[in-house]
Amino acid sequence: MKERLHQIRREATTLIEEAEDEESLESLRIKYLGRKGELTTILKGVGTLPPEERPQVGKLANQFKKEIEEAIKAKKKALLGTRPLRKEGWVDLTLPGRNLPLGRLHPITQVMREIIECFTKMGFSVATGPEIELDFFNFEALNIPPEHPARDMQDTFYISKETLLRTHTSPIQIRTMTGARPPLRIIAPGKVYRCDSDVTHTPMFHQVEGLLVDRGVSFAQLKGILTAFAQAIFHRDTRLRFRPSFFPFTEPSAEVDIECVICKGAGCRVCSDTGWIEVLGCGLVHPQVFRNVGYDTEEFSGFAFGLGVERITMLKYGINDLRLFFENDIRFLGQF
Amino acid sequence: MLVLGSWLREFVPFKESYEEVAHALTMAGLEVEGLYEAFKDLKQGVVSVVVESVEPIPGSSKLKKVVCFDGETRRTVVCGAPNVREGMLCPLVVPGTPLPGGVVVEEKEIMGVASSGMLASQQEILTGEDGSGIWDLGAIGVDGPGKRLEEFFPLDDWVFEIGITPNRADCLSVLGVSREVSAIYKISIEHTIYQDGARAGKGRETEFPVTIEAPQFCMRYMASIIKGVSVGESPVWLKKRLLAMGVRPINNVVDCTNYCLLELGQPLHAFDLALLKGPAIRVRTALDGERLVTLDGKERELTKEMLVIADSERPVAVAGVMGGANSEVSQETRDILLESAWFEPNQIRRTRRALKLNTEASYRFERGVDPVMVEVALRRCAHMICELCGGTIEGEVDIYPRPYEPRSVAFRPDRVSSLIGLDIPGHEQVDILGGLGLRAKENSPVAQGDYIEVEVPSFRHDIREEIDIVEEVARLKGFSKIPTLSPRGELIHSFTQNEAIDFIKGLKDIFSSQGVFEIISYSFCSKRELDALGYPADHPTRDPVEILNPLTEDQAVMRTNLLPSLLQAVKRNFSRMNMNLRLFEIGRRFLKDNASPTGVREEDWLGCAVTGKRFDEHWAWQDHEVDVFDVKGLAENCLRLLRVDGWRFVQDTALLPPYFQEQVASVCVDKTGRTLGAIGELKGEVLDAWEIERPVFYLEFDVAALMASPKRPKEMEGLPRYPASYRDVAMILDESISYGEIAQFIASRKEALLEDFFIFDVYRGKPVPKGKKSIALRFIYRAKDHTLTDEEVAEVHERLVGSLLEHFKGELRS
Repeated sequence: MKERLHQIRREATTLIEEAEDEESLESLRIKYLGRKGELTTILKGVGTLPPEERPQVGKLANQFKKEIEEAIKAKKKALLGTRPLRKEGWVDLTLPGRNLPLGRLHPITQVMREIIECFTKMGFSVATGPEIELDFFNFEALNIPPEHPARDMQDTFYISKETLLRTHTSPIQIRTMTGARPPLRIIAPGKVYRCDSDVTHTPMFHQVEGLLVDRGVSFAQLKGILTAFAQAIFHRDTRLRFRPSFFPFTEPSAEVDIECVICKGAGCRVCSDTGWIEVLGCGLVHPQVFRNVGYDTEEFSGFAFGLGVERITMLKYGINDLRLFFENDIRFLGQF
Repeated sequence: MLVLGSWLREFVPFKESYEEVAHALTMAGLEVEGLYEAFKDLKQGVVSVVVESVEPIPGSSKLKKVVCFDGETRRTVVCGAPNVREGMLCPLVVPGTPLPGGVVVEEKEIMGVASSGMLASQQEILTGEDGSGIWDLGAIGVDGPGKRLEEFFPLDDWVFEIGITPNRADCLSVLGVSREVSAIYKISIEHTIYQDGARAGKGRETEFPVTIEAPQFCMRYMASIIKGVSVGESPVWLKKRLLAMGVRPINNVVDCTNYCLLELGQPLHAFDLALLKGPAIRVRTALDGERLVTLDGKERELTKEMLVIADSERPVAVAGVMGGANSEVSQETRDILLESAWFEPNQIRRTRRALKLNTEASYRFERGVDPVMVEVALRRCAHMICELCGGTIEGEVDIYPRPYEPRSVAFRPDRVSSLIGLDIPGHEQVDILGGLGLRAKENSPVAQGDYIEVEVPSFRHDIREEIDIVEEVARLKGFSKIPTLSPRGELIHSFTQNEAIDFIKGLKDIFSSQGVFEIISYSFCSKRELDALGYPADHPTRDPVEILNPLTEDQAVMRTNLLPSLLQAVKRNFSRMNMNLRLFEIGRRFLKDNASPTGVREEDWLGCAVTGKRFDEHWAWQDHEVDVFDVKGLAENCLRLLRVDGWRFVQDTALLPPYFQEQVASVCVDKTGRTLGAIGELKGEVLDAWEIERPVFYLEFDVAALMASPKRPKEMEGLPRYPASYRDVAMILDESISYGEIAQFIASRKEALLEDFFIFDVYRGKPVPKGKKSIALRFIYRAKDHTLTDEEVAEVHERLVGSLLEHFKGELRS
């Protein structure tokens, strides 16, 4: 009889475990514990057993009964947990909704807008200029005479001897200054072109150039504006590093590094273990540039800066391949 | 540029680590892009081995088959050294290791023996001068096999890779970089290193004929005549320095010139005197068609724009760029003419660009070398050649048509401080400048105001005016010391922004908010793509602005139309199985225009291509293929949001671009008749050019026209106070009658009570006869001042329907 009891318990435990809904649990309860259930029947018949077996069998049967009751209860609870009671008229709102198709702005446009907005808040206006430029505006007026070694810094697409695809948005500085008197605060976004194409260069990319001309402008103020900018675009605790550099149209010139956005300065692959990432170039406007546009260098000083929008977008969005920007794959564009 | 750390330290004995110096240089404007271990390959690729057996190789008198053991691996190598013997401890260059000259030691078969590695002499691995046999490591006390070179020989050195900006020609040498280190750390430079030699190498004046026929291109030409040299290999210490700084050793004479170039920044060239006809030197422009084989073995065709060094008959060098093979120093050379000169930078740049020949020399000349260093370097090098190659200095020539005039620059310390934005006392500024060799004049002739005058050293031709002083003071003071301040000034209202900037921004928002993806494409395309658009051959679209130096044929011209850009994007997406596309781009097209200063007119256009399914597959609705009404809808919403007044679409083939299918396209005009753009389905033969096989619907707008077209002001209209009545009518009409005509006719009736109407069904098929269609219209009637009665509505409606049926010869659909 003891044998039989153990068998019932084994069987019941398995069946309860396998039960998939409340209904089958209920039928199991009836099968074992109901009025004519298997355990019930055994308990009822304890009296008919030989006296020496009675206490043992009775004890065991009661123990198993309790166990089975509890197992059913626990299973019921578990089932309730996974499948809540559905009321009449229930609507499956886990199904996707009906969406009107979503369009996206190109990530470059998005970041360009962020940059522009940051500067317009600081009182800058947006200026534009032609993409096919005169050598004069692109180079000469910016203190880069013909044959200047600085021309090697920018591989130029030429249209003719005098016209070219602008290599930077800096000519807009000159165009603006020739048409207006200081004080000036402009920001000049746009496409620029360099005759270079590899993993880290595309023949066309986007720049934003900034220019501020006023009385008493200093390098310290340039640091102020660019720090405010970097902290708005990246993170409000972003640290900046200004390194002396050279551009023919600014002096003193600087390259600006921000603390690596990936490793926060600890050193990683993105920053080549330096902890710093170069994001823009800047400097005080060279007096020769002012002379070229007829500004009084004693009265006015100013600063200019230029930054690559692709680079900033890559850092902000973790984009690892420059070429993705111009492939226009919607699976890429749809991510931003 | 590369600079060897130990060499730099010899010039300025700094105590700081190389890392610290690298950082300091970077923060002073000489960006250290890398700091590499020198000879790293050798240090790790050479290991001590014990020779276990030496056997002759049949058929060779010199080569031996040697088995050696490094404690772990046993290797067989072929060795030709006379001193190799059993039990000897010597260095093995492991296969895969590059030797100093660049050749990589590889496993290969020699005389039928597989040789895996190379036993090396001291000379071969830059550890000593002995090249007569393999290096006996037992003699220097190396304890056993398996030791790497760095463990038993001090080859420890580092190389700085520095990005020198084009203005800092003075830093293109070990001396130049050491001047910066000296200014940063205030340590004086060991000038005796080269000055002693320069003093000893001074030759007496000689009569050798040197003429400068193009003095505008050559400020100074010096030559030293050295006789009786013996050309051979350079000592290892010299080779090591050249190799570490990226220069391949050639022979001792040439190596000396290169050594002085790296050390002092002055390019030098040695001619074999015996090969100079005359002998004479003429600095002249080349003749068109003259030819010269340069030292790299290539024959160069010269032009009269180039400057050459010639003897009495022919060019013997491209001045400042590369020497000629016809006067090259070789093993046979006994007497040399050593050249040291100052060539005009622009001239050198033009020449090397025309010849596409970049050399260490041209790189320095085109940035401007130090005219005073010309003689120092010549004498230093002449002395070095005598020391290392034998020979004696016969004499020197110095042709100096335009002697260097020392310059000075005046600055105001207050102005410097105010431009930097940090108060730096005048004496501190003078100190900083002094450290750079810019010494303040004691009795400054510019005595007025607060000016200080400093003498500019001959090597700093970049320092010309006050702002250059500002830069020097700021960078050596340290940009990090400059405070971070906010600009002050009046709020600027004098500058107004070009209205196109905000207009385009709004336009992008209109399209992206209607489910269209913005793309950005290159502004160039191929001529073939523009030809494929279907314009006649003389159309401006097919006469694009050409790029003189395009990267590829596919990017050779500036786009005259945005369609190729859009179709490229469609094609690329199709190839990646993105079949449902709604794309737009706003960008410029470029047209030739003589009235423009650049010869080009740039116009902003919007292009939008739609293809595939309207929606992605979805459980709750059916997807449909897009058609021309999808682009029309986009266009209409755009026109509405821009509040363009009186726009309409006309099917006028004369105005329609040729890439649209005539039957399925329309031109958009505003109320003045100005063409704003077009919509339609693209022709199959146009799509073929991009291998696109599915229908593509296209919309284009001329942004300037959209901007110029009259706009409806935002002016509120009162809401109606009385209810409207609706009446529907279905008419069977001839297929050729357009909805536009019907709408125009209804409007022309000017029924006062008709508030609005619209079409709500178009039906073809049974029971409507062939060639006819059924059109269902809903009319909305309303009076401003009362509720219309059924009779009033019926009267107007019947009149309107009657006139419609009559005008269009239609009948009511029952």
